[in-house]
Amino acid sequence: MKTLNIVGKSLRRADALEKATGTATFSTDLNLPGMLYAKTLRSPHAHARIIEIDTTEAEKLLGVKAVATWKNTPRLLFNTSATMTFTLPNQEPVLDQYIFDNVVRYVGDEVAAVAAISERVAEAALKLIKVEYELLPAVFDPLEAMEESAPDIHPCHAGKNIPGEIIKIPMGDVEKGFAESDIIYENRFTLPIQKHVQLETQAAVAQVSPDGNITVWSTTQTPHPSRIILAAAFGVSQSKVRVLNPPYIGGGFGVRIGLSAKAEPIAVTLAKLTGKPVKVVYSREEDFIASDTRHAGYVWVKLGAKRDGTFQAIELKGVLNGGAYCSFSCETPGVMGAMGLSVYRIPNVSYYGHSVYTNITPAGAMRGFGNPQGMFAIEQAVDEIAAQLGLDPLELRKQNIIRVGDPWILPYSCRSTGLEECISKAAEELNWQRRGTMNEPGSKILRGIGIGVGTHVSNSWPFCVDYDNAYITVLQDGSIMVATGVPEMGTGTITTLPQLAAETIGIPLDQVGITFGDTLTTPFDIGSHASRTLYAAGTAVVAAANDVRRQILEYAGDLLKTAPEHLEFANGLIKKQGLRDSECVGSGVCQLNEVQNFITMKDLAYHAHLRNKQFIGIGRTTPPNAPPWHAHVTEVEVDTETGMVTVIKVAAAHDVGKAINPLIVEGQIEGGVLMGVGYSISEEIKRDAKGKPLHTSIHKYLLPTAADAPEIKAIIVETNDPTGPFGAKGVGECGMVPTPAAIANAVYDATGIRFTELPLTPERVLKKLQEKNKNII
Amino acid sequence: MIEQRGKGYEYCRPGSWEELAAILCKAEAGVMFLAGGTDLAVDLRTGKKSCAHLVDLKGLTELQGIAETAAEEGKKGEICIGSLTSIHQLEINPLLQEKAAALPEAACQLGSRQVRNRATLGGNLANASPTADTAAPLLVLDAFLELWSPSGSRHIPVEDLWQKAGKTFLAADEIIRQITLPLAPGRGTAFMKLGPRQAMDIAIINAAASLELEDGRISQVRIALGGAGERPLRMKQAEAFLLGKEATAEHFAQAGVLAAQESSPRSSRRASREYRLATIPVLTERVLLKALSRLS
Repeated sequence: MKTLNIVGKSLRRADALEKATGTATFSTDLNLPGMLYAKTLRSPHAHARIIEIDTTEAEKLLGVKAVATWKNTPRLLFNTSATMTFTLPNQEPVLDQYIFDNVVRYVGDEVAAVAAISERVAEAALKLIKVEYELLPAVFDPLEAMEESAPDIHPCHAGKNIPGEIIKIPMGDVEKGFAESDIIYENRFTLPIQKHVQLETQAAVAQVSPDGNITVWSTTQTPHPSRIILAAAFGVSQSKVRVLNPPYIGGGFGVRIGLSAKAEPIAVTLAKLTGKPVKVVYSREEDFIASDTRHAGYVWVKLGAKRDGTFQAIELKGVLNGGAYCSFSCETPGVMGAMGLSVYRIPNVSYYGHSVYTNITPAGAMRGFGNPQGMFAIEQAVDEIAAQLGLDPLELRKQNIIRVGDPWILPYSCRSTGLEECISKAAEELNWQRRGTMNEPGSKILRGIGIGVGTHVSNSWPFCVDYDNAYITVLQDGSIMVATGVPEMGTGTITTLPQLAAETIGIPLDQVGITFGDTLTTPFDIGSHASRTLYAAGTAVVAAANDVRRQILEYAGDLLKTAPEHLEFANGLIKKQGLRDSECVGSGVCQLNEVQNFITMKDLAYHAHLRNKQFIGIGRTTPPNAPPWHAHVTEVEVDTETGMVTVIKVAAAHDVGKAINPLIVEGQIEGGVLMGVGYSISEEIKRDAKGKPLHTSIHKYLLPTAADAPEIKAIIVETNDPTGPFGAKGVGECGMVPTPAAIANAVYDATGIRFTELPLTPERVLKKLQEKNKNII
Repeated sequence: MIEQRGKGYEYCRPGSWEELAAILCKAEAGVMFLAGGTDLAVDLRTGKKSCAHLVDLKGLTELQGIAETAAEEGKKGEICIGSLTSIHQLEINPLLQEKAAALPEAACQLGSRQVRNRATLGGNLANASPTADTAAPLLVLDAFLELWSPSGSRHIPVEDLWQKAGKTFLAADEIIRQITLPLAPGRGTAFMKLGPRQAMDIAIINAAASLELEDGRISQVRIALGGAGERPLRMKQAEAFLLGKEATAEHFAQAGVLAAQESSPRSSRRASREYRLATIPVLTERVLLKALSRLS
């Protein structure tokens, strides 16, 4: 096998110096000459019709340049999420949003926006806008919203308040499977709303040229799809719209796959009304109440097994709270089902799931995309089966997990799995054999160990449109420029994609430049989501790099009078096979035109330039998808007198195919685990009886701080998937997927109590402990 | 003196007591005092609070510092803390760590490192949060406060500072100048905080205790709780119950039950009244055990 020089090494991130020194620029940092600042008026009501809206006083305020409402802005339906740009045929993308509407559907919904010479003036103007509302009945729970008596939030054809289609995934015969099972476990699980709390809030700066060309700098994770959405929302051709990151994004986690909530359309509409550049930066409170959240909801699971532990049938059902607008509410339940049913080899499976419109903040994409919700239920069901059969939960999993070549419901095949190795390594890290022997009788502080496993995607094909393009241009000194449409949102894209290009071509990493996250300078790419950037955009970069390498070797072959297959090309040096590097000294080939045994990339590029030639590689790929696998073993401590649950340690073993940059991979795993710990223990957004959210700031919303982080041991397992670049698969979302289940199973191990609702707040845990104690007495 | 206009208020920073007195005599109403600003600056920006005059006390440098006065004949030793001493200074002070452990123990759990660098002891007390982390320790340390206003100084026990959540008995032109802790050499003190997050979290309940033993029996005891009522509270029935008894876990548990009986917590976004009532006995018992372990 070829020795790797650059891939597989924890090389320093390309953005490290800029970010460590505070010189990296983000949308929030942008300032353009003459730029105005926008602020948005948001609905105080969960559901209301705007009877009258009077902006005259606001417009009169000194410094106010424009006020936008539903009356003076385009009435073209769109969907802020990228779903409207890549929903596959036979399904219609749900378009249910205007920039402003005359009906508001959640507390925080956009009513109007003001552009003014400062944020302070814009804020003062908001207070002068008079709005008369007719209150409409509101509903907040998805099950209640499906009842006949509930208000209709949008017209729907699949069922009462059900956006898009109901997802049904059948395989085999579940009735028969359950009939043949010796044991069945069945339960309902309840999931809360989680928020991304990415560091940079939603933001955009828009500029509209006199002839109508629109440029938008924003926090989007998907510049190219965002261009499509904006072109549709403003009724212009896509060629008139440029969307770019400037160049960094302060995190994403799914919150801006498509538009950054409504930051872009509000900025554009005000830029059109004023003729000036306009900046929109969401406050943290706005980000909490008016940009997508994770889907809350209910998951039902029914799992049947033979006495020997062989799984016979599984039935999974999900009803998710989609909130007031569709966003990714059609796809999220689909991924929940598709992933949940693809972990174990079960002959009879069935999934039924959908979202439901309610009058709360829209739910959309968030790290894991429905999968953590489903696995929370499934992995606890697996533990219950193990407990009832007296089997080791570890062994029961190993007995039933999907193996390479097994039939499954997914339309692509499982070509690699390291799940068994993940389970063993994670268990070993936490001394799994201690399980069941960790507590002294009568102890008030209990310890427990639990496991959760799962799989995910490496891109979104074939669930939606998913293809990638990349160009590589060889410059006249032999260095190269990679052009790719994906962004850098903190995940290491601009480090790892150059690593792939440098390794593939055979040049040092410092010879690689990259342009990214800009519709003007990069070819179409659907962007960063679905754990896909390295796997999918990386495949296109490798294809473009192979194209360049082929062209260079052909050129060098002519020059060195040697067939390309008899040339070696590494570290910027092209030489005849067998020649030692130390023999390749001296230069001047460009001028002398003599036959040599070797040539440097630098000399070759300039040689070609002097002969009117440049090498340009093109990669156009449709990634086939591949399953990453993961097992988390978690140790927790439960204080039985206060209900406090503390996560002590998480061993997170991940089959990532191949770690292109192991340090970045470990960072992704650790981040996912910690986000999962918060989701499990303390994070949730609750509402009052009128639908007003109660958790609207980082102080109120209890995401873990550095002081709360457990010890996290990231373990990388490599299986070299045949479809991925250098064998790599997705990893970005995976740390999130099995974390809640592993924690809940550990709490069960400690207390003997099965918790079916997240988060495991001290109050919720203490209540169950007290109930259990009562029953014993 | 520095002066400038802020959002709807006049900002000034007097550099002497005379300047401060002059400002307060001139200002008719709407004075707010700025110490660390970790709560007030946020509330002024969001509009939750407003004032006509914002008087920054940080120009009065003598308000910072921690000093011990040694015991003399007929007079106990004491530790005096300037009201603008930062929470971080409390956290790292060896004198407090040795002689009033509950206070630095509370200080190191308040907010975050950044907040602790900025927030002050006087600010934490005057903010009058029912769960202020420094309140319960000062209650069990028998702290008293020196208050200052243009019309003179007075001393009050810390217990007499608070009316209810967000409200003190301070006059409109009155500030806390100094916090004094009488020293008691044979005393063990401790603090504990209950909340789901290890930093940047307001306690659901916090508790402090101080204990002295004589011949194996409790000769002095103080128990104070935050989050048990609309202001930080001494648990006097629980204290009375323990006085003269042996310092055992059983007695501490019984004291905890009494503490819950004399508490009247409210339900909030953070926790329900029921949860607070259920955990008050637990925290009371544990903090007493911890104070006991600190007795040499």
